[in-house]
Amino acid sequence: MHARAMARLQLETDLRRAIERHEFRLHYQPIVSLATGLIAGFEALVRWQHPERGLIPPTAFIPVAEETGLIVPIGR
Amino acid sequence: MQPDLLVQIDHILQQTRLEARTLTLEITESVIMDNIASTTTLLSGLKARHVRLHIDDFGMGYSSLSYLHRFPIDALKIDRSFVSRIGHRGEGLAVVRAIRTLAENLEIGVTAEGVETAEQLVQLRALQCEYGQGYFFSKPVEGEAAEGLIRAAQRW
Repeated sequence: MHARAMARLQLETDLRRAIERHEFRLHYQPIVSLATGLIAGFEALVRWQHPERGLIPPTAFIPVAEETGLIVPIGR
Repeated sequence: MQPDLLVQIDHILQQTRLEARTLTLEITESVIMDNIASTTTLLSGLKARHVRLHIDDFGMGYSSLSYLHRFPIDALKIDRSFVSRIGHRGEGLAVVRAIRTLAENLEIGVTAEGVETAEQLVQLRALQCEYGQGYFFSKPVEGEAAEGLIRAAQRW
């Protein structure tokens, strides 16, 4: 429990720093029309390029970002 | 939910000169169910601007389907967990087919998420799913690479 709380706190600290340092990137995944087989659009996905931990998937930080309200500055 | 979300979206649409009808926003079932009153206002505001609305991770959240009639939804995104099980003795296939039928009856579209194999694509086409997304086509890429994908005009 203690370790989890610490990890969460660390993540929150890292998120705040990441917002200041602009560590978030947008990636785009194609959406394909199955009728034509051609790209019909893209979904924009946020990626976090962490200076030590590398690319962090949204599942690893979006829940904490939502709980802490940090999702708002990340979205801007 | 951010109270000024509509204002922000209007601002972004103006700034980018993006036509609202080319923008699709995704919302999860749980977000809708947790804030019915505020989502109703938000979604009708978006609809008035001709922004398209998709339900993300459909099938994973709230079990009540009643909200589908009440909100101006354009399509359901079938959760990847169902798509990934299409090949496994048809258990995923049954769920995907059920969602496809539901969407058809509601006269809205479906997008299959997490398409990873040619077999899944064949099955999704057979079910007449409108759109697919996943590593079988491409992983998420940076802006420049995305432009490259458009130029390449590959046909899957």
